[in-house]
Amino acid sequence: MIEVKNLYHDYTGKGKYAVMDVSFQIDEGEIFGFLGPSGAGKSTVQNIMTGLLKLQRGEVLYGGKKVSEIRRAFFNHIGVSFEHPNLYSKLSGLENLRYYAGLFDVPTRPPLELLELVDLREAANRKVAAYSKGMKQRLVFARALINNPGILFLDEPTASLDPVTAAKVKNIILQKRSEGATVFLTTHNMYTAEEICDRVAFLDEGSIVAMDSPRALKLKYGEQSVRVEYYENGNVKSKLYFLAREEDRRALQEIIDSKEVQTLHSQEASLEQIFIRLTGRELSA
Amino acid sequence: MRRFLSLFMQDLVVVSRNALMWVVVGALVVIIMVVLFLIPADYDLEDTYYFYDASKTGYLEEEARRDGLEDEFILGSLEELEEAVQADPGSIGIYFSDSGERPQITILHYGTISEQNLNLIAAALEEPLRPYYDLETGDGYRVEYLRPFSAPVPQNQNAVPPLLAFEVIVLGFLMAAVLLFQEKADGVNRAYRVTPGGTSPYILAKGAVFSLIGLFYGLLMIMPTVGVSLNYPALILALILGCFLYTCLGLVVAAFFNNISEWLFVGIALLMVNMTPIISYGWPSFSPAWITYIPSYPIIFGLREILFPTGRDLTSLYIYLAAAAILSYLLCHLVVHFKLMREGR
Ligand SMILES: Nc1ncnc2c1ncn2[C@@H]1O[C@H](COP(=O)(O)OP(=O)(O)OP(=O)(O)O)[C@@H](O)[C@H]1O
Ligand SMILES: [Mg+2]
Repeated sequence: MIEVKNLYHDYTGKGKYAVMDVSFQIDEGEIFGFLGPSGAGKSTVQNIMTGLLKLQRGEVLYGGKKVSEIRRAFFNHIGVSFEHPNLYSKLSGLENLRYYAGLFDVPTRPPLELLELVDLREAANRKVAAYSKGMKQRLVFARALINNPGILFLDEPTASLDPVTAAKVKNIILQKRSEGATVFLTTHNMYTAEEICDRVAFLDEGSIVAMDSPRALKLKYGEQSVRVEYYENGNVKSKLYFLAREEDRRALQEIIDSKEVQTLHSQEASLEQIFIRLTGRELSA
Repeated sequence: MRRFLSLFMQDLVVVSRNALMWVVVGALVVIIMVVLFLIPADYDLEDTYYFYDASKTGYLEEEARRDGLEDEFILGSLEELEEAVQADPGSIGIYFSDSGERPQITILHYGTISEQNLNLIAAALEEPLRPYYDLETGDGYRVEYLRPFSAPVPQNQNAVPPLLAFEVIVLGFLMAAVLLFQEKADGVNRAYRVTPGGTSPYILAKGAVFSLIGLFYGLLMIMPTVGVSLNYPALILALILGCFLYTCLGLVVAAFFNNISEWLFVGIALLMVNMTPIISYGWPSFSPAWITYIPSYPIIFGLREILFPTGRDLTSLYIYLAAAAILSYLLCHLVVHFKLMREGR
C-alpha cells in the first residue's frame, strides 16, 4: 500500500504552494488516476513519490516505510514513465532499453519483446533522435516496464498517442494490474481515467477536490447537464449548464431567449463534467 | 559489475557516435605527421653561441672575433656564461680552457644535442685551433648539460610527452563534459535516478571509457613517433591514471554548468592553466611552486622519464598520480552525488 499524507510542495520557497495538503492512499493492485488540468501539480506529486523531488512537508509511505528512508534497491521494484520523454537521442530504441535493463538487479524483460509490445519493433535499430514524439512516449512507457515493476508511475502515458495506440497502452496497463501491479496514473484525459482507473482523485490548483471510484463520483455528483451551442457576434460558442443549479437554469433560459441557439444537448454526466462542476473549469483548454 | 559494464558499453557507444571523436582521430593523424615530418629532429645550428675563453692564450676568442662575433656574446667568466645559457635555453655555451697545455672545450646546453650536431660543433671549434695545438679530432671536448644528464632526445620526440599530457590525457576532461551535457540535454539523468544505478558506477564507467580511449590514443601516438620498444607497464599505468584523473576533474567542473556554451569560458580557461607547465618543460629554470601543483606538471616530466629513461625513480610519480586520482574521484563522487543526481530537487 502506498500512503501519501498531507503533502505540500513549494518550488519558490516563498510560500507559493504547487501542491497543498494532498493526501491519498493506493491499495495494492489498484490503478489510481490522478486527474487535473495543466499545472495542477500532478507531476509534482509523482516526482515527490519517486524521490526525484525532495519531500518538503508531509509523508509518503511505501508499505509503511518512508520514502526518505528507502534504499537504492527499492528502484528495482518501481517503473517510471516520464511526461517529457528522456532518452539517449544518439542511441537506438533497442540500445536505450538494453543499457537501461543492465542497471537493475532483478530479472528484466527482453528489450525486443517490449518494443514489440508498443509497436516499435520496426524502429528498434533507428536512433531515438529520429523518433516522433509519440514513438518516444511509447519507448519511455516500455522502459518503465523493463524491470517487471510492482509499482508503476505513469505520467501522461497516452498524451501524444493516436486513439489506437492509446488503447493499446491502456490495455497494457490493465494487463499489468491483472498481474498484480499497483499503478499511479497521471492524466488530464478524463476518458482514459474513466476507462481504466479503479479510483481517481481530482487535483485542482494543488489540492484534491474529490476522490473516489469513477462510478461513485458519478453517483454523487453526476447530474443532468445541457450543452448549448449558440451564435454570438458571428462565432459559435459552447457552454455547459447543470440543471440542478438555480443560477445555471436561469443562465440557460437567458441564452435560449436572447441568442440564436444552434444545438442543445442533454448529456449524461461524465467525469469531465463532474470536474467542471467541482472546479468551475474545463480540463482540456 | 553488471551495472558498470552496461554503463561502460553505453558510454562507449555514445562517445563513438559523437562527432568530436572524428576530430580526435583527425588530430591524432595531424600530430603524428607534425612530429615525424615538421618538427626538426634538432634545432638549427644557426643558434646563438656564447663564448668564454679562459685560456691564457685567448686563441678561441681571437678566432671568434675574427669570425665577426659581437662583444655581447663573448663573456668574461664561467658564471656569466652559465647565466647567459640559462637565460636563453636555445643557446649553446662554449667554455674553452687550456690548463696543462691540453685544450679543453666544454659545451654547455640546456636541451639536448644529438651526437651528429655535437660532432659538427666540435669540428667547427677544433678547426681554427689546429694551428696552435696538437689536436686529434674529437678528443678535445666534452659536453656538459645544465641539468641532470640525459641521453640526447631528438627534438621532435621531445614534443611527445607534452602532446600526451595536453591532447591525450585532457581528452577525458573535455569529453566527459561533452557527454554530461549531452545527457543533460536528453534529460536521461532523471531516468537513471529512478534505477538502483547510483553514483559510483556512473563515474567509474566514464572514467574507464576515457582511460581506455586515452590509452589507445596515447599508444597510437607514441608508437609511430617514439618507437615500439617502450616501458609498457609504466606507460600504460601512467596513461590510465592520468586519463582517469582528468575525467573525474572534467565531471566535477561540468556538473556546475548546464550546457557547453556556459561551460566554455571556465573550461577553456582551466585547460589553458593546465597547459602552463609546458613553459617549464621547454624552460626548466621556470618552475615556480604553483606550476608544480598543476597535475600536468608531474605528468609531462613523468612521461618524459618513462619514454626517455634517465634512470630516475618513477615511484613518486605513481604515488602522486594514484593519490590525485583517488582524491579527484572522491571529489567527483561528492559533486555527482549531491549535485548531478539531485538536480531539480
Ligand atoms: N521546476 C519548477 N520550478 C518552479 N515551479 C514549478 C516547477 N515545476 C512545476 N512548477 C509549477 O508547479 C505547478 C504544478 O506543476 P506540475 O508540473 O506538477 O503540473 P501538472 O499537473 O503535472 O501539469 P501538466 O498537466 O501540464 O503536466 C505549476 O504551477 C508549475 O508552474
Ligand atoms: Mg505534468
